[in-house]
Amino acid sequence: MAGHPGLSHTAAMILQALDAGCLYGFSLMEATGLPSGTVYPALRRLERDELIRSSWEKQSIADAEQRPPRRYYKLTAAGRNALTASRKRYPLLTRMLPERETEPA
Amino acid sequence: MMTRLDILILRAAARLVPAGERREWLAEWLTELWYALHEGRRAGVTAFCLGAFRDALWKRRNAPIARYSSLSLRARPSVPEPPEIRCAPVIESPLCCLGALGCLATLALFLSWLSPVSLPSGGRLFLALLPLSVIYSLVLVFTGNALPGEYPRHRNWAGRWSFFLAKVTLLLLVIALSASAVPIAEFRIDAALISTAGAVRWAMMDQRRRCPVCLRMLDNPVRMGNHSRILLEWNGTELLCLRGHGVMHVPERPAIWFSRQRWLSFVP
Repeated sequence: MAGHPGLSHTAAMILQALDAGCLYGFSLMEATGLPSGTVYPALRRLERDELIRSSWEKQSIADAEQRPPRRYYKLTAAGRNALTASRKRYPLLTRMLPERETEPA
Repeated sequence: MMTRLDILILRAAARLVPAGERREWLAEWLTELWYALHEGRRAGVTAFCLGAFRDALWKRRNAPIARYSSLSLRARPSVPEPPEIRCAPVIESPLCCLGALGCLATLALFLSWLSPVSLPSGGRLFLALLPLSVIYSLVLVFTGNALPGEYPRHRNWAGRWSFFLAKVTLLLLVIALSASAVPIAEFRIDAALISTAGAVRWAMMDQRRRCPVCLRMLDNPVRMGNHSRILLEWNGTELLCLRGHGVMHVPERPAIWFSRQRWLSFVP
């Protein structure tokens, strides 16, 4: 999609949290403080608009750690551009959410 | 441990998700529930699960079927689609439409012939309704209720106008002849006036739903865009000519920059 000047604050928060290293639904909820009924539909919307993309973790990695595989979300190039624009629009965004953490394998 | 209630909530919500996506959707939510429980959030877990309903409803509203039918020129999937069972309306083609109206006019003529009432005669009532229909049309156009569309680069204006005039004429004939058969004189004129307003409006709305090239009904309506982004991008309905002449874009709400429906021609 061409340009996303109309990103809501919620969407911007989720993009910022993703950029900060919260890469799956529950951690996004924890970081943003938003309820599940807001975070997951927002993720679907962002994915539909090609601002993020998702992928399932490999079963072998999850098995080794004795936990179910996670569905990870990642910013796309368009999502990164939208986030940059959103940071100008919502200057407190970077202060609200922690700095970038480590990327998953 | 996941409680039975939590799983029940997620499974109930999953019923709202389109069947093709349900399995993956449920897998993601069960995984997330597992993490919610293992990261010490037992207290809010039920509220967490109830959020699945909103997500499921979003999935349902945005099911791929809408994107599918968006007459995309993309390649079709390898899985064969089941044949579409759809009843085309009787008035789908212009000839059938005029034929149906002609049949109605014949029936009305037969009724008026049977009726003992002779005044006002159907012919005179028809002539009286003609200028009225023009006034109604102008009122509908100027009040924005049935604005004609923008049809750039196509030359079938004579065909379109002829078809429209034929429809209105036949409808007025039906009304005039039927009204002349009404035995109570007080209702005759009132019924004719009200019916003329309805008929003119129907004729104009029907005209808007037709391909300007072949005059057949447009099909495959697809809603597009987001209402809340009216200042940024258009939103409305896209209709397709099944013979491939083009696409009609009908705005949901008129904007300054997109007030009338627009025809995008595929024919050079």
